[in-house]
Amino acid sequence: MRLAPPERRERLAPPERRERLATTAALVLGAWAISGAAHAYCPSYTPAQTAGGKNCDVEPALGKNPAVADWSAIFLKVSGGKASWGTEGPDIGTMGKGCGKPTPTTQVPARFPCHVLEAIAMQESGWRQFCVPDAPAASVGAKERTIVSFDCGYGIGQVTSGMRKGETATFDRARVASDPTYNLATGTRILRDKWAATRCVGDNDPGLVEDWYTAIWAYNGLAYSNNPNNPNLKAGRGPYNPKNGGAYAYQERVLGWMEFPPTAAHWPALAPAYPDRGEIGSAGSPPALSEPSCASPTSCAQKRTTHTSECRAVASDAGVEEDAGNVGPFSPDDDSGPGTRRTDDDPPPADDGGCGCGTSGSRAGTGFGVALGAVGVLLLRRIGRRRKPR
Amino acid sequence: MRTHRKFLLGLGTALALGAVALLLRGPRAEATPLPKLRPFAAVVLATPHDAEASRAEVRRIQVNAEGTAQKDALLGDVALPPGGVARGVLEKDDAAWVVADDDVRSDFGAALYRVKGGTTTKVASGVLHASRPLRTDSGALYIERGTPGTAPDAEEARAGLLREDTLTVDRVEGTSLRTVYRTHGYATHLAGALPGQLVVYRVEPTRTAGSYGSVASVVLVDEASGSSRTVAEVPPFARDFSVQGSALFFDDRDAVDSGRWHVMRLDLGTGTLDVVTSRALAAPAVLATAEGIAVTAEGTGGLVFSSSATTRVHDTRTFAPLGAGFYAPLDAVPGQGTVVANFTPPRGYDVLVAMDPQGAAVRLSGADERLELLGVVGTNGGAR
Repeated sequence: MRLAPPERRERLAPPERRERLATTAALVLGAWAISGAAHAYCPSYTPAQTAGGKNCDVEPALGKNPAVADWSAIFLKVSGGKASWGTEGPDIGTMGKGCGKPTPTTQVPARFPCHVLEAIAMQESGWRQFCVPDAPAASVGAKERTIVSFDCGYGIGQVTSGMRKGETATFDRARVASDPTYNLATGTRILRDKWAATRCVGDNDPGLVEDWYTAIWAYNGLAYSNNPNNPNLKAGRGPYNPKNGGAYAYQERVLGWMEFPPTAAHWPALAPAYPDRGEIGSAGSPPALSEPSCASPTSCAQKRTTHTSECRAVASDAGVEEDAGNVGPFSPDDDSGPGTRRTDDDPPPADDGGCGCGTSGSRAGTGFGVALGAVGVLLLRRIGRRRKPR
Repeated sequence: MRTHRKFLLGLGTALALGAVALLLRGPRAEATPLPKLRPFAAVVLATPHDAEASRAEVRRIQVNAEGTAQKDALLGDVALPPGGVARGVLEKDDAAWVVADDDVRSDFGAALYRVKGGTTTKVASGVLHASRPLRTDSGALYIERGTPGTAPDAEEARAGLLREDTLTVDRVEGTSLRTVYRTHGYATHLAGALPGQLVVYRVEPTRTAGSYGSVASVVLVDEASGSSRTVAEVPPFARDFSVQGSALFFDDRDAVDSGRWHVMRLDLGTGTLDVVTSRALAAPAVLATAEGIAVTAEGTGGLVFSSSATTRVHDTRTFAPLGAGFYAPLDAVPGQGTVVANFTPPRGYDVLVAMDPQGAAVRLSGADERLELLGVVGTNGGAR
């Protein structure tokens, strides 16, 4: 079949024209970006539908998925560990801190950088504990219920361990299916176990987002597919942008989500540092790695610093619309995300108007083009906010 | 009245200064016509810039005699789960083979599809996520499949073991598959082909007392018998493979220095390895063609064209038509020297761009979608 009329693309234009085109493109993309994304993916397999295969052992539970602001409150609670979630989650062990570089190893209560949890949950389920099933065919038409993948991954954390027939679990499996907070806390406990089972990144500081690199890899599986030297992954790839797509390792996708949140209401953008892929690969699973300092998964020509991350306090009237943010095509251009640890070599932080939130925004240019783009995007954001929340 | 005279005086001065400025600029430079690319077609997978994108179109883009690019024909599409990856190769200029994820949660959750005339047919499942089929010059098609092994326990993981999978290279014969190579390990990557032989990049674990490592090697597999021969061991960071003549070109990390990267040439007959060129801090991407090699430039980026595909880069020309960023050469138009590359800018979305050693270039990507190259077709055919 033919496309009619054919869309013509011009030959590369002179710089001034390209700049104008870029500004126009930024506006168009900005407008597109605030339109919000439809979540269309919702498997919900029952034990009967997986019999003879993965053999899931827990029925999906009916429920209503929390709104973004409600999820933020749950992340705040779960990131604080057992002392914070109390009986709303399973028991959890302590975790090692320090790797002798120079901090000696000690055991500390398990706590988690907020961005790590938020981005893993986005990659795993799109922040969905419950949704209206669109797969398998026999589940289509059912009411909103637990998202259950074909491999028995349940809920927002896609918890698989202990959820199949014949497996024993040291947590309440029914609550993993039915309770968003409990599910997330259980996933977090598994992440803590991955931290314990993998070798140090940097000085093994659980407060640093970047030191979770290998544990995040292991959360998905210590497989070669997630090795950054896998030749099937995109050459020269920069940080993963979910709207750009492409072949990336799991942990690179999670770190990319941190930098490109679905909306500003989900979390403030944070541009994490990556380990040097030249350090990964001579062994099978990742060896002890230096403190990540590369600006992309494939190049250390530019540098980034490491980050801490605390969950935002949730306002009592936090009725934030899902499409209220602006995730433009451009990434934050430095490490001005939350909790950045700056070094003397770093450029000064960009002026964020005193909000200190370091959220996303186009810093890809200067002058009139950017100003026009900002005005246009702000205008479009206002238009976008008038839309009904999903 | 005095005000009026002042105004006229000011106006006259401004006009005079303007005239002087024009004179100082000198004569206008003669407009130099931009070089144009020769006509060819690229077949791509187009996915919208949307984290929840659910389909990718297989589309032909024509670069015409004016050197501009335009959408030409829609060959069909494939379904994708959110975050799914699709890659593929051309069968002919109106048909393609695509490996697309069925389920992103499984490493072998992709499937092989044939797309032609608006019809998409599923041919095989259990295909490796993000892998690309290999089509040989004789027209045979090969894919990477497998089944995941058992996850390493905590002790094994800390000792350096990754999950070991059962891996196969399968030949597609109509609607059935024939396994020509089977191994157990980390990767059996289809790196290229010689007449009657497949070039496989294999990565597998090694065991020493108390710890695990990995070893990578280039293996030749006989298409008919499945027998294999290891040509050389290489550091396990190799990628971006292309075969030219009897040599395999790829980029790889230095065997010792973790911050040094090389473009390598491996003689598949003798096993001799040569360094073609080197980079610090970031690995280049390389493509060997009949006209020479194209390799990512050092520093702020661009693509280096070299007329030599031997063991050293010489007679080079560097171009960066879209500015600074990473240019990964993907495929070349037979007999033209035109290379299609994926451009990753410092910020923003990827762009597919065609460029040649004379400096002509055209952007193939629109603003609203990501393109994955399946192959190119010259004016006299020759789908790759």
